[in-house]
Amino acid sequence: MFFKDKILNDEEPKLSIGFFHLSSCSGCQVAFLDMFEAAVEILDTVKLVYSNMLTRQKEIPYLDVAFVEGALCLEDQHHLNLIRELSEKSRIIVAIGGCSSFGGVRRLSCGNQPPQPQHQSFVPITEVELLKGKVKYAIPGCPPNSSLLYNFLLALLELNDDFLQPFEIMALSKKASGFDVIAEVVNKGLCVGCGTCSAACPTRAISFKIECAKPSFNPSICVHCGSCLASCPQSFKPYPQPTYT
Amino acid sequence: MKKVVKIEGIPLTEGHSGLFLKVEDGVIEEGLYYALVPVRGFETLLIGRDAKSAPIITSRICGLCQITHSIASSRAIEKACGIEVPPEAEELREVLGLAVRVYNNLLHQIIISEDLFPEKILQLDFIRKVQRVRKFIGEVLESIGGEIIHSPNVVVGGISEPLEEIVKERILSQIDEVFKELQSLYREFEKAINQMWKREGLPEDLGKHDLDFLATDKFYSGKIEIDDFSFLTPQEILPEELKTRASNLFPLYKGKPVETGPRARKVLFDGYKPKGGVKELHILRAKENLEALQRIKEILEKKRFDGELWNRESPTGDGETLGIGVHEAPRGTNVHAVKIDKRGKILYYKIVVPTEINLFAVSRALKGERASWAEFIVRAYDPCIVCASH
Repeated sequence: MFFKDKILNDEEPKLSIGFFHLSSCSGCQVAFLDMFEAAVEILDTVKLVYSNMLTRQKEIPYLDVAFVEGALCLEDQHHLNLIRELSEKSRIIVAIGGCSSFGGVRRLSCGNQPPQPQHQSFVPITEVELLKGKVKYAIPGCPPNSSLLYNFLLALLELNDDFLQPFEIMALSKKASGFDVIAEVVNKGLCVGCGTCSAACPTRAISFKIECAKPSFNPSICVHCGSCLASCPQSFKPYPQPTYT
Repeated sequence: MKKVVKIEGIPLTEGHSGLFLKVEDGVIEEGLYYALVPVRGFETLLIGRDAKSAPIITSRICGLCQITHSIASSRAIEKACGIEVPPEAEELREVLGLAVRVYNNLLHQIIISEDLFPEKILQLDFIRKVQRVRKFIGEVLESIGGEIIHSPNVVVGGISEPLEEIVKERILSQIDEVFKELQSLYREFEKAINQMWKREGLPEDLGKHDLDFLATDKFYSGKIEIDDFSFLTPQEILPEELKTRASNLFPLYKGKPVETGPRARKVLFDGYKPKGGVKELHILRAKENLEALQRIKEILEKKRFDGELWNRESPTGDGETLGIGVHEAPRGTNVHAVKIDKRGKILYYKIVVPTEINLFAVSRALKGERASWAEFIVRAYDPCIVCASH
């Protein structure tokens, strides 16, 4: 694990974390605060070294885990500088929420709005070449469930690799919409009709056909957050996938 | 001695914003406040999309006061298409709007808690108390709206899921206790604000300005004309290179800059005489929480909400009628305007958010104050910059 040495050797074994905000709604940071009393507990346990909303820090210090929400806007110089700085100063990066993991609602943006009509290219940080290898985990959801965030942070502190493995795989995946649930699970004959995807969908774009016990997908209100495929118990297979030739 | 001070990234506020200050002998002669986050293009991305998807997508404008955008958006579409909404659904929307007001105002108290309590232990203790109330409000939002952040139950034509009696009883059984907690929280906040003012040596009327106020209703929604708004671009206002970098428009109401928010509501609907200054704004915002919670109780006690709350009529318009949806958000008046065509697709969308309106009020409040106090003034307006450049 990346900070095992730190915990064994350092005098102050507190994990330093930071929240960074690209092109997004800040909802993921609010979801972190929505752990309510547990958030205070977390703030007491880890060291929050940077967050525009919660600390007075202006310069970005060296830190262990950078939680990044939102997609990178290529036309914005501030975002490019921030990403470069993060690639140097953070040990790992966690993409938090749909926008930074898979593009999210930014996948619908088309630019051309005053006063900045050129802002149209929004890239999730998992696709940025500069951060390849740095973005270790991706947490799906719009916003991610706060108890999921809590358990993720606990797993990070306890070095629980089993819990973290699915998030590691999601950082490499680009599959996020209801179409991918159909393609990856239903069309491959793996769907057991449990209904977890429809319960997980934050916009209720996936409903459940009770007659045939299969999900049905309404693409017009899908925001590409990745909750459905991530929550599907049939989608995550920890063993190596067979290849067909 | 004259000099120009530029501050980028104001800590303890939401989003990335900047301040341009012309300072003479430490006193601000002219101050300008602007947004620097990229424009995400919500007005253009909605064009051509299904009208029913608008409340879901506009909710993603903001993560702090999500539901006010879904409510304003669905009201605008209902006006444009002439859809009648069941009165119970409107009342539940009001409850949701008020719940998010308390939720968001308390979030602001958490954000500025580092200003209020210099000692870490006291700060965490205060946050813990605030979180206890927010947890209850989160339950209200989740059980009526479907989720805490980005609620999917606010749909065009009403509320998609009825509120079961048993859930309502559960909320009502806790509300009195939470109200007491909120009252003690209000007293603590007021004390902390007074102490902070004394500690930092701030004057009582810090950030006083003489602008008019804009509000449409005390709790829910009123009437407004979109033609009353005119917009100035950054090119017309900001100096030098900021002309091309700032990412918000500057709205004027009837040709004048105005202030909107808790103070405006208090002045226009409660006959409150404003003393001016941002300390008053902090106190009034905290006071609004108490009123909102009382109103939630009043509405929920009055009626049953377990019937059908959704008029499932398909939204179709004539492509000409401009539907305007207004909602009194935590930070002020939130306006959405929309045109729908015969197929139910969106032809035109315009959003005016409260922080955008308040940017001028912040700039005006900065005038004549000491440069070192500029950040306190900005924070008092609780700016939500991602909303401002949606």
